[in-house]
Amino acid sequence: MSEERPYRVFKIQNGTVIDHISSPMALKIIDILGIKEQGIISIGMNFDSSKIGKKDIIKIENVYLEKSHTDIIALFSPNASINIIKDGAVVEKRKIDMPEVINSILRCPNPICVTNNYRDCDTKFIVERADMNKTTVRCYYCERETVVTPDLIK
Amino acid sequence: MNFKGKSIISFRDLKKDEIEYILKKTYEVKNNKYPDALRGKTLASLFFEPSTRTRLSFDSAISLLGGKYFGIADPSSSSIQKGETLKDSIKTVCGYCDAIVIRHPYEGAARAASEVSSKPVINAGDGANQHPTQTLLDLYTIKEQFGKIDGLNIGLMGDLKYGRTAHSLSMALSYYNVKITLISPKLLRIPIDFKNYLEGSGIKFVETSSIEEVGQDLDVLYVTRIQKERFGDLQEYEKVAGSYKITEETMGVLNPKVKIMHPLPRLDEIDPSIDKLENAIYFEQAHNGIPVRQAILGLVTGAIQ
Ligand SMILES: [Zn+2]
Repeated sequence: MSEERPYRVFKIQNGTVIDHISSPMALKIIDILGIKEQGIISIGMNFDSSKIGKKDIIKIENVYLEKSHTDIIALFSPNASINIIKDGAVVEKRKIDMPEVINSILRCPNPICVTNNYRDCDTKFIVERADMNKTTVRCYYCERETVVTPDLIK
Repeated sequence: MNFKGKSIISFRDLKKDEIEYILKKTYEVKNNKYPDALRGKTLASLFFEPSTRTRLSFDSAISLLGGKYFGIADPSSSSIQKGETLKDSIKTVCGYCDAIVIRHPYEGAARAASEVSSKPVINAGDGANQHPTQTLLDLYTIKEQFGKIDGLNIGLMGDLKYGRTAHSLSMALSYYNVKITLISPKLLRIPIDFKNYLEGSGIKFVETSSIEEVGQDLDVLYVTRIQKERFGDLQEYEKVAGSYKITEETMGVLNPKVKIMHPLPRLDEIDPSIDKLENAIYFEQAHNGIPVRQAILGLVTGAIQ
């Protein structure tokens, strides 16, 4: 089967694999996870997936990401899954859950929100509703509701 | 119930029993149960945008109970213009006072202030977001007039799209077993966020463009201003806004016992000829701002239990 090949290309011995990322969100997700400088990262994009159509994969060598760190991915790729690899074997497989609160990552679209006007006020959003492909958040400060889109990432 | 040290930022933070407690304390304060309760207390009144009425109401509230206040009244002289951070201003000021009242053009400013303040912060309006003491005085006025809030049909009329007062009051009323009647031109209907909130709370509400249709059933009619700026076309504004004004003629389509409220100041949305009628309670409503703010200041500073 042709499906085996790309996986073998960047198989890792130790680290974290983020699979089933909705294409083309891989680069954005590396960005929001803040892992750019954490060792070797391999990215695969546009693989065929029977589950979600086109998917991306990220493999981060020698870094084990905590669940609390990866749940933010749910905002842009609710079907993503996490595999922790040790000595070439999957030792933990987990889903991601929508976080209840999102700190710092998003900007508020409301121009008169305090977070857009004082540099010492960082953003914080409360997740109000999360359907399959639509997440509605409320700014903790100005209290306005917004549907999350990739352009809201700071 | 312990309010000492608690900030009053948004109706989202207040539970029904807390609202009821504040209303009960307001009644007691109004009936002079706590003379001089705020003696020795100092209020910092930080108005980053002008709002003479609200500022005076807070200043008199504390003075009448024996406390003192200091503040920034002129935004051009305040640190907002000099690029000082909001949080630094608050951290400095909270060393000199027992509570902070803040009004600010940026939405969420009071919340941000409360996060760094060692003293309770009271939101006196943050942009179009929240103004909880206004809403509490609205609730108090309704309760004072009818002896209850449950069971009433409360009409909110005017600019329901942008009007902060109407948003906040409708959220607060959703704690009660009331019917809310939303009366506005189609262009200025209540935003979907608030409709979702009302639907989620299970409260009964109807939307209409016509006061004639619903006027007979209302116990309260809360009038808010429709601003010219909301309309691209001045003629359209004149045509629409005219249907949402209270005149002696409009009184004919209303329940003869209806109570008319307004957050003031008004322009021409209520004709001055209405003021003398028993239906008009907007000045009493404004006066209730004092005992409500006294009760809140007393509670959050611990001077009133
Ligand atoms: Zn905001």
